[in-house]
Amino acid sequence: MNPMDQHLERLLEAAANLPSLPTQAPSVPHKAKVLARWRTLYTQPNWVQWASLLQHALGWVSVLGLVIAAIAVVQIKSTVPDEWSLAHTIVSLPWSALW
Amino acid sequence: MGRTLACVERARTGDELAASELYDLVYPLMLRIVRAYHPRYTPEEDLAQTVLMKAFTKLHQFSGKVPFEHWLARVAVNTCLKELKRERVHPELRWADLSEPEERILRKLTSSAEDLPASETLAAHELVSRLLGQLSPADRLVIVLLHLEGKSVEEVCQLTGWSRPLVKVRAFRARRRMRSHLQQLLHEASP
Repeated sequence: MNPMDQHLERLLEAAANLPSLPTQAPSVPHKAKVLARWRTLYTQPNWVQWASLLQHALGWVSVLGLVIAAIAVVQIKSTVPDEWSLAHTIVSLPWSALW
Repeated sequence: MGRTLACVERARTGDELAASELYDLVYPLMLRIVRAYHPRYTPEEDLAQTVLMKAFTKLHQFSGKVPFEHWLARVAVNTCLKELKRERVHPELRWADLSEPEERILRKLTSSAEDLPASETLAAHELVSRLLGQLSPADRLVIVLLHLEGKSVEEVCQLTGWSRPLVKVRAFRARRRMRSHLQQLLHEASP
């Protein structure tokens, strides 16, 4: 080993012996930024929860609409004496009953 | 290690407390890695944040085949390497740039064959950092890993993804360049 190699070796050995610096606590803004980024990828955003709620609400409204329509049909059948007056009865029904 | 892994699993399912705990658990390790390689012009905290940002957004890519700390170290090393590549300016190192303790170290190296005293380790580390600043990012990384952190060639291969011969060749060339810079400094010291 030539002298310059020895110098470099000793220098590197001395540098490697430097004790590691104490670790300070993570900075709060830095941590918040990292967690915010993580949140966008790994947690459900609020709009997904709202969309799910809206989907359920629409389902229930549809069921309710069907029930009202069924009641309306039953009422029509029980009150209409013949098929010719059916159209007339439908027209004369209040629109709110269909909804 | 088990606690870290449990946090990773929970963080991947959207558990915010686990993500926060994971951050606190891995931060010291991250800072240690970043301190060893961080480029001169990037604050270590900023670089640690960049690394953690990458790691946290790629949690789903962690397969669990290696310990989480190893996976994280690899992400950190690759990020630091990229940052180092941005540093294109390598101002030439001159004797006049050295601090007094660094000059003293160089004089001791040439005047005596004994190991440098423990009191001079900080100056030696700073001088080595200056010499490393003259090298390319890859050369710098291989010297830090092999000589300052005492990692084996195998460990360097795992961390960097380089082949065994590549690590050895890079280390050889990097040492040769460092030696040449050191020689130049010593030459300036004794005209």
